[in-house]
Amino acid sequence: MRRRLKVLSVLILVWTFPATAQENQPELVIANPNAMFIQQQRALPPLEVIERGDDLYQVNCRLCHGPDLRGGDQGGPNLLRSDVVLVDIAGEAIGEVIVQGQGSMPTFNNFSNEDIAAVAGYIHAIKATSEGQGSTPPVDLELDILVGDAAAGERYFNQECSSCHSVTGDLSGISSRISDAYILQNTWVAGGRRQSGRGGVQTTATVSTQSGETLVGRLLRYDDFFISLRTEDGTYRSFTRRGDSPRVELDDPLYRHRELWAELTDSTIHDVTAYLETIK
Amino acid sequence: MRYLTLIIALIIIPGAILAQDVVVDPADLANALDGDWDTYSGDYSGRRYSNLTQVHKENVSNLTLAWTTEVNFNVRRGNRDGTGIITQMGGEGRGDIDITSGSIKGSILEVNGVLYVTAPDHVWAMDARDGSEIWHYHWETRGGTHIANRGVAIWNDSIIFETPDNYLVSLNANTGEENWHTELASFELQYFSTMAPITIRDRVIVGTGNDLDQPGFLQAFDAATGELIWKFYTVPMSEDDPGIETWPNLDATSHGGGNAWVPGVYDPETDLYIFGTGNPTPGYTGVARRGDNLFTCSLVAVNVTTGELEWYFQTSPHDTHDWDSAQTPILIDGVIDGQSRKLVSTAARNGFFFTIDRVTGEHIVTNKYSRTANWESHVRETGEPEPNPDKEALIPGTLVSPVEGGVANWQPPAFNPNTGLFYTQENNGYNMLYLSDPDPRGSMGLGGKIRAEVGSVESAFQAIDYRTGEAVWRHEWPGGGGVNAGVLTTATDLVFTGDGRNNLVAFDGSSGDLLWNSRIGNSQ
Repeated sequence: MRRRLKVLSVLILVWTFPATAQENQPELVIANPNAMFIQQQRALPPLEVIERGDDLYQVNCRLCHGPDLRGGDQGGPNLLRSDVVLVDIAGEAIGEVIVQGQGSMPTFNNFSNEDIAAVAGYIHAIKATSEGQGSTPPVDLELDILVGDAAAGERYFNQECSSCHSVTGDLSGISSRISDAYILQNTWVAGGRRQSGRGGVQTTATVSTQSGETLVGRLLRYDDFFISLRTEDGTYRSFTRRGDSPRVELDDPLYRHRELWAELTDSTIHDVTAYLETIK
Repeated sequence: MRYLTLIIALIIIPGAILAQDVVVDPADLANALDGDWDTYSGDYSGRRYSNLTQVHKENVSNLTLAWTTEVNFNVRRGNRDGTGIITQMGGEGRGDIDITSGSIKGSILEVNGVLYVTAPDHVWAMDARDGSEIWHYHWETRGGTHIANRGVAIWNDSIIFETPDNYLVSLNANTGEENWHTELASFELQYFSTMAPITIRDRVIVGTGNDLDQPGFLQAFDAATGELIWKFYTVPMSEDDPGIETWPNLDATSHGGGNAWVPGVYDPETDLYIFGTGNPTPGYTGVARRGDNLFTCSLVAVNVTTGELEWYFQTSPHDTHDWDSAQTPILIDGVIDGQSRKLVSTAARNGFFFTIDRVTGEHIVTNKYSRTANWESHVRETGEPEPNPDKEALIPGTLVSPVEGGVANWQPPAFNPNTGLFYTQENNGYNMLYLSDPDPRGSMGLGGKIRAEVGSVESAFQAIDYRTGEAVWRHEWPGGGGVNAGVLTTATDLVFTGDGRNNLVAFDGSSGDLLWNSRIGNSQ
């Protein structure tokens, strides 16, 4: 029931697009001209019709096509990618299948034209909430990613990480600072919130020119033909590069993390995350 | 962004004065590439190997910027005195979807000193000497995914291109006026069309894209009239179709993807069009499509006369990472074990390089050209990398290389017959992939996962020996990050590409030495 209410709240959002035709029209009316897909452009019937379609769907269709329209235990296909649903405008194609059946689907002769329009409206309203790149409507699940062995994670940490990091030093209270386990895991694997740019971990460049000048500073831009850096006193310097001149040495504090990615197993990652999760 | 800047740093225009009558005889497309660039890859081979010798290792350093121009997306109606550009209009949309920006992400064709440039819903003809506009065509869209347009085809005196809302449109090459348009895929089923069509004899070969679990197909249309000649599905569409045994059921295969969205190559000797197919769908959740999922992520050879499958080789069985194998392959006339062979090679998005006999489909070489790709458990005796199910998106997260964009993507590689080397980008990076929709029915489209960028290890440019798949030389781009730029090579053994740092660069194709760069701006 909770899920159904949520679906309805999404519907109301869809329904409140400006320029949506308010009458129960059979013809195509652009509901949201900025939408890129026709299933989002089409106007929906009034909310009470969609709600009636919801009721009809739950009674007649849900068992085979699933509570979320993505197919059910009785083998009905996923309606959200069904050719019939995708080409249907206001029940004319969906209605034909309802009344005549298709494959192993029985006929539903008891459906009136209003019933068909209502069920079609409900299906289209759910379809209109699909996200981009063909995704389903939003799926909101709480999935626990903390499956690792914290003790094994601690052993790994002490062996491999403790030369640079400490749970009483730089990582003290890390799981309080980063309370979302996804973000905690992504952050420690990557070696920081951002690898470059403002506030991120910075690469230090040492540039030695042919005239004997040596400059040390934060690396800004770097390619085969150019390097720029900001020295500790805030001065911006840049050089044209030709081969090895000027000589450039980079100190990338994330170098070890980049190496680690090839070595880390997924179970080690999960173990270390479980360990860091205990560092409150 | 209303305007785009198009920058041409390297112009080699044939001596002829700008001719107003553009005519490309389809028979010419089978010839080696010289003065004109009149099909997506320059010629049918996919080599992007120019026979021109005017620019060579000694003078390449003298190349300088010739011109820049701002591409104008606006609808224009000409001046009162009858001069100026009049935008030619077409389309089946209502004119209420605003597409007045976009980026140029395809091959620009050049014929007789005229460039043909595209963005979604737009085609421009420009004078190659100074970038001035000759005509502009604007298609009023019905909507759909406006991710890119990969360029036009030229057939006799017509320009043929695809629109995002799935029309094939033919224009007069000299005026931009429309000859005809025809629907090539269903807008309702959320197909979208980006591919540069390939003209072969009297027909035009087109593919489409789709993100909503619809089956991929390749079609041939009559280039003169737009009538459909044949339609080849890349996945089984009936219980009797080949490959059905690699899917659990017809519902899965007929929603199985495998879209043909990047141009392939053509071998006139065998009349085979050879192309790479897209990833299976749903992209990240393979649970409801167990099996190899033929003919997704495959190199596929189709007879151009009949539209029938001649052979296939699957470069990525049962992909679950959105790593399509649509990359343009390259025809190579090579030598394997002392024997002359007709070959085709491809550097796939999944990080593996393959060489196949292009007449029979026999597998010859598989080699991992990425230093970090970690998704396969082993290579089968038959040459296909075997996916490791532990590297799919899983609830607690998996560390996967390459990133979603792959080791290489649609940007075309090149092959130089003098050096015998295949030139490609190599992007090595990692993502964390989480399964967010563990439903046993599978998700849809590219949904069902959460992706977190971990970082780039390195990016490089490789020169690969097609006989082994091993790099003969490799240039690491300083600073890492993804580098996606196409490649051009010449009879003087130059190799041009982008460095992902705003430079167009030239390599010595034999040694890998950098010979030249021009900071032209975004070069990928």
